[in-house]
Amino acid sequence: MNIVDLKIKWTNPIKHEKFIYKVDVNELYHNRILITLSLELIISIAIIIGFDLNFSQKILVIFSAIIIFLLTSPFFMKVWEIVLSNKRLILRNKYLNVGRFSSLISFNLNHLDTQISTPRIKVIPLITGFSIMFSYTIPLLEFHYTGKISLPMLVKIFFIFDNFIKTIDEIEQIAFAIMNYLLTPFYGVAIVFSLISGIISILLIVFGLPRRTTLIISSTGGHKLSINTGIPKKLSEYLSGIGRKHRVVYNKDWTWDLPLLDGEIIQSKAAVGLIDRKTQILGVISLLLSLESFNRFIVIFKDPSMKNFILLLITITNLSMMIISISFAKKFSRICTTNHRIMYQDERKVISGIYGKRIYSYSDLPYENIRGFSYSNYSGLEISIIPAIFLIISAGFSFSLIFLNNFVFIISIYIAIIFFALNYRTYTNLSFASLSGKIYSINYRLLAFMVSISHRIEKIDNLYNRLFPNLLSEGSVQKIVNNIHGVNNPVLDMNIPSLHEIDVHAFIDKDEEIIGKWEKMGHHKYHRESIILGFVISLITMIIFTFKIARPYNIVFLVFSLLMIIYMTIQKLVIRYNSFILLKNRLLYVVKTTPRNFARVFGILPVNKINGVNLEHLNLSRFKIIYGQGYKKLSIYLIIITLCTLFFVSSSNDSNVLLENAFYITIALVMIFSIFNSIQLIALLIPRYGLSLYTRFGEIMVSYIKDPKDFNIKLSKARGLS
Amino acid sequence: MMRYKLRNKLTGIIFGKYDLKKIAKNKLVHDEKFVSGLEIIYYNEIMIFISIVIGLLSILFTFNSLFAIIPLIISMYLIFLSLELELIFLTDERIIIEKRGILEKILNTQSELSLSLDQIAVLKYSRAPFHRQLLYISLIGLIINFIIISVISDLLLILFLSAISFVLFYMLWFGLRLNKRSIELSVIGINLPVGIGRSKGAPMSFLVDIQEMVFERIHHISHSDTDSGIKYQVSEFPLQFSSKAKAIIEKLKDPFQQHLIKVIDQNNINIDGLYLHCHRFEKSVIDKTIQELKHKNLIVEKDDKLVIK
Repeated sequence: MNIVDLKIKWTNPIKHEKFIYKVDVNELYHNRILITLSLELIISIAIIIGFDLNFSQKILVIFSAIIIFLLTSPFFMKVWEIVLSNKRLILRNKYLNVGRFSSLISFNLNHLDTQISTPRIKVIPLITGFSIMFSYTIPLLEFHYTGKISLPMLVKIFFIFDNFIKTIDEIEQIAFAIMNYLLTPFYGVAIVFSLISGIISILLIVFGLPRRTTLIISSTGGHKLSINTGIPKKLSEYLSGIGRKHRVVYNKDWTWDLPLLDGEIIQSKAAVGLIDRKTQILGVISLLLSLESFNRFIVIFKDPSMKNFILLLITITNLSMMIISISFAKKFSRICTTNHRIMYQDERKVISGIYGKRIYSYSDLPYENIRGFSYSNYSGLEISIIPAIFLIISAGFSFSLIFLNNFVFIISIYIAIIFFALNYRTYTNLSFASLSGKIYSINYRLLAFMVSISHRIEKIDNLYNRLFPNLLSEGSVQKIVNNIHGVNNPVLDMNIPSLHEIDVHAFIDKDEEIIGKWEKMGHHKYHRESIILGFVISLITMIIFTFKIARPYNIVFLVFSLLMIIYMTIQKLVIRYNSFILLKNRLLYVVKTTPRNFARVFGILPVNKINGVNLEHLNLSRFKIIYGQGYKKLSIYLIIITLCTLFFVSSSNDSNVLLENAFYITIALVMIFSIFNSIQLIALLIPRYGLSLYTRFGEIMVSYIKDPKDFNIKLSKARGLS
Repeated sequence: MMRYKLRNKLTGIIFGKYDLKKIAKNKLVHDEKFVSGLEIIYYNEIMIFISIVIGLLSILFTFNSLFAIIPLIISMYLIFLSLELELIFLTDERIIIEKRGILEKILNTQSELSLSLDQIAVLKYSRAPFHRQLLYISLIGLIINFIIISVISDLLLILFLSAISFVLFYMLWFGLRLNKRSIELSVIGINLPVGIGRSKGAPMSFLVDIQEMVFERIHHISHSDTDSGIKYQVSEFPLQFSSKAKAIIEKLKDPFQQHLIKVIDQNNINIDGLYLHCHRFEKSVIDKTIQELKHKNLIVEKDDKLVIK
């Protein structure tokens, strides 16, 4: 390429600016066109039908509609002129044939944060095309040849469940009869309509398929610039070269859309395939339901005719769509690091499912623009599920009392256990934040027992990779993070398969100087007194209330309060602490939960959360005395306790009505729960020193730190100030 | 001429005398150079006249009905909008935007914005964004006005209020700002872009000045390496040629050979493509030099394409 000076006048060329590439593109607004066209059609048809017009008036209406369309036509399209120079990207846009509202944008490439390269997909035409095809063309064609119309999949599933309950098998036939009654008049025109809609849908689908890439770039300040149209591949290639001030290299082994740069070496990779189970299960169910259509494969051999051939084709398309929906229920995202930048690949799930080919969007980020990372790994329940489990058990128990049958109770316990196991998940997340505020994250969630199975079979590579493609191994996390910070010899190597918890030392180099270390900050490990006090108080209240409440429900109440006591003691036995490590120019912050063995038996697993922040993005550190933390909650709990005691004191216990007793129980349970929590909150009222660090990554809050002055001195030392 | 004189008088009365360069001198910090300055005076005598008339009339009408206070408030707001002064100073380090209006004069306050040049990411010269405040106010005013007109029965007041609704329409038109072209600067750290000359419009020449200064400033900042210690060469013109080609070109003396190396390096082409690219030269000459280069073991033919070794 001959590099010449930029001489296009409207760009206002500056000193030392060289011309590299110029292209003109048109941005079409499909929504505007669709809306105006449909509005005009509806209004003009309404006028023609509504008012009794003669021929010349009708023509006038049509003529005025055309003129309105022509008048609004400039706003359907924007004409973009894009010029790339070695310093900036210059864009000029104007509406079609209207130069008045034109605007000139010049994007400074020195502040380029990321360039997202994603295929240009016209979503609206594509989806309308597919919906026309599968709701009109194929059913109408089927109707023409068989005289029957197939019910939608959801209706079929509904019928199956309905049959289980009611055992009436005529409903389906009644529905078919109604549909036949409605559709027989259209039997003659079905083929014509199916052909017309088929042509329209195919045209729309072909129009909507991705051919070129779009342009989305963002500055380090978070200002985004996007053109929703296809731009030539050459421009994005040149831009990725000039934006990173590097030469683009073409490598045949490299399949990503982002080109590699000169002297760039791929150092580590990580991939995660997130599976959407609901879509997968729905796809499998619909495959099972369409089993009856397999007989078409046999019919074609017995009676080979044009009709049977077309019906076979229809079944094949339907089946292929089902298989696609099953296989595309998995969404891939990948991270790749080189010696220069990280690259991120994210699948566009819905579109790749429609297209039948995996379609990705790519973005890259040089290491200068990364301000920190965060890694978290923990297993647990969502809080809303615990009451649900108790509800299931207690409901089963009460039913068993009413019907004098233990079977219901046992089944309810089994259901609760399954419910618990299915919702007990492990969440893992690795994310990087860029200067502009974009967050690149790669995460998965999996059932906790599945994760423990995966630990057992990880030595069998073949089986492991096949069963768990969506696991992010600790070794790859360490590699990616260390590549970014230039850590070559970490203190701790995570590639040993038996290690399943990343320590902070995995991200620190052996040669790196540790300036400050604050480990195990936080509350005291546990207050033995508070546990004993809580235990005694709750036992007393339990005994009082159990004797006060009607007989048949004593057991439920006893079980529940015992469970609460166990839960609370376990909570006290879990050690939660934070720790800091100050290194030269960066800060590592760890939030860790290590439960004692007794708590581990009850299923509380360790939580591990590591944040790394570059010190240049640490804006403010603040020490302050924190007191009266959680006093609002405490006051609410105290009010609840007083209300409950007032209720118990005032009410008599003569009646044995079932509902009233249930009311008693719930109030007593609420009271015990609030007593537990208020004891916990009283401990938080003690004033102490807290530290809060405001970073561009978010706020880090440490509720207790011993020596604030020491921290400040070391922080300035880490920044290289003293 | 008459308008010009009136404008000068009014600005003189309200803002006093000022000299752009003198103000700029006071604003400069140590070692800072003043590059160019711009004063944008937005002045609308129609608005001032209308608002004065409305104000007087509404004071008269308040004796008749209390509804007439609303036009008074509108006229006050119109006066604030009718005169606005923007002083913009461009130095080699930053842009300083100072806004002066009647409200600022009354309250004796100052509004000054100072933007560092190397933090400007996107420059935009386009239609000024809508004045949303004014749009909302004028729309609400119109609705209230119509409601009042439909309620009251005094014919004179109705005429007066309907005249005011025209003024509100004028405000609406002003709030749309369809005719104004402003410079919008997207600065890192500020979410919304900073506008220059949103009410009056800014000249293209000032945009050129800013652009030149911004890129001049960046040109002097050298590209720093990362903290991680990995070093890679940064080239200002990355599409020119690669480091391999650079090393070879330094060795070679024949300018045509150098040119061929450059062409092969930049375009992924085969021999036919090379003929097309260098159509001014004869094929035999190209063949000869390529064979020489191959003999020197500088060029290799890989997958039917020429590659530098």
